[in-house]
Amino acid sequence: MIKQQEHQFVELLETHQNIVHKICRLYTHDESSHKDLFQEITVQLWKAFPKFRGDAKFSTWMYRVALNTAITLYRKRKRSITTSDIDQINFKIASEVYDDTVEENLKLMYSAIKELNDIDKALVFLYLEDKNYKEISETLGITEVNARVKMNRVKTKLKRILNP
Amino acid sequence: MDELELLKKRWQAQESSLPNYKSTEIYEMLHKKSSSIVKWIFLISIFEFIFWFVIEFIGMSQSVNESLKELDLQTFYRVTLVVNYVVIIAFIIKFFFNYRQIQTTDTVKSLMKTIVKTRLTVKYYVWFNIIFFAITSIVSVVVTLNHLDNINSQSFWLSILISIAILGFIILIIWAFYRLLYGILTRRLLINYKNLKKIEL
Repeated sequence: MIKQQEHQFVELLETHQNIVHKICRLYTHDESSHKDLFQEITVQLWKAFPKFRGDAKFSTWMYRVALNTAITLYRKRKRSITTSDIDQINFKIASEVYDDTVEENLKLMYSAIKELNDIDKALVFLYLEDKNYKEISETLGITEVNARVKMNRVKTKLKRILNP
Repeated sequence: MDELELLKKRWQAQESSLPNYKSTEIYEMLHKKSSSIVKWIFLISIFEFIFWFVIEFIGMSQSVNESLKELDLQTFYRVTLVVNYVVIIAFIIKFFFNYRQIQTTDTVKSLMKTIVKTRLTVKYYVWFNIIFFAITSIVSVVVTLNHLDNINSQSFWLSILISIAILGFIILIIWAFYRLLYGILTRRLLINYKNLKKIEL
């Protein structure tokens, strides 16, 4: 029974692992801590798996547990990041051709996002994942209005960083 | 906000650059965290047991044996030694069972239960060691002082007071030693426990 459940869980996680990787990419600064966080999230997902009843989509449930884990674990481990972090590791997003200013702005914004507090970071993450405010509010356990207000605040903050 | 939209586009296009773990790697990642801490508690308790056993063996010289005989403490020494080892071995077995249990556990609730149980076992283990040490030391001190013939009551009580102070200091060191040895691991277990509590949605 447990073996079967474990097999089902591993299969689901293997299919949806990109979600976890993207969270790790946003919450960590190097490959080894990426792997550590992935493992931690995997363990926590597995422990919480019996609570997953299938009435929500696996991916939605996964966003919630994985983000909770990342927020809980990385709350106390803040460190300021340098631009070299971003150049070397974190800005591995597929490249298209843009001019230098836009490119620079994107890097600046990405670095600003990585320095946001954990909840705001989770909010931006879900926004980047193209979730609507209803989904964002459900995943983070806040009201839809609160999600909108917070997101607007973050947008203003980011705008100010790009156009001081 | 153009840049954020642009970033969103790029963010979603990053899939190909993400790592891809195979199911075997995911299997390996499961069960590792708390079970590895409990495994360390079990292993450290064995190392500690061996360490004290060796110390006992080295310390048990001919002269110590003779003074025990002189003080009529041989039987007391043997009995406490047996009791001590029996209880410690029982604790080690308990640590092993905790480790086995945490490895096969499959729900958040039972994992949390095992964590609580392990922390409690460690607590009892430390208290047993401290209380046992205190009792045997007090008995040895009192018996030794009673054997000193030419001692007046004032120096007897002074010696008792000094012995209590020294004993208190040694107990403090033992307590600090255990806090360092097992404290780090039990604190990690507690953090895991708290995280599990938060994650159990």
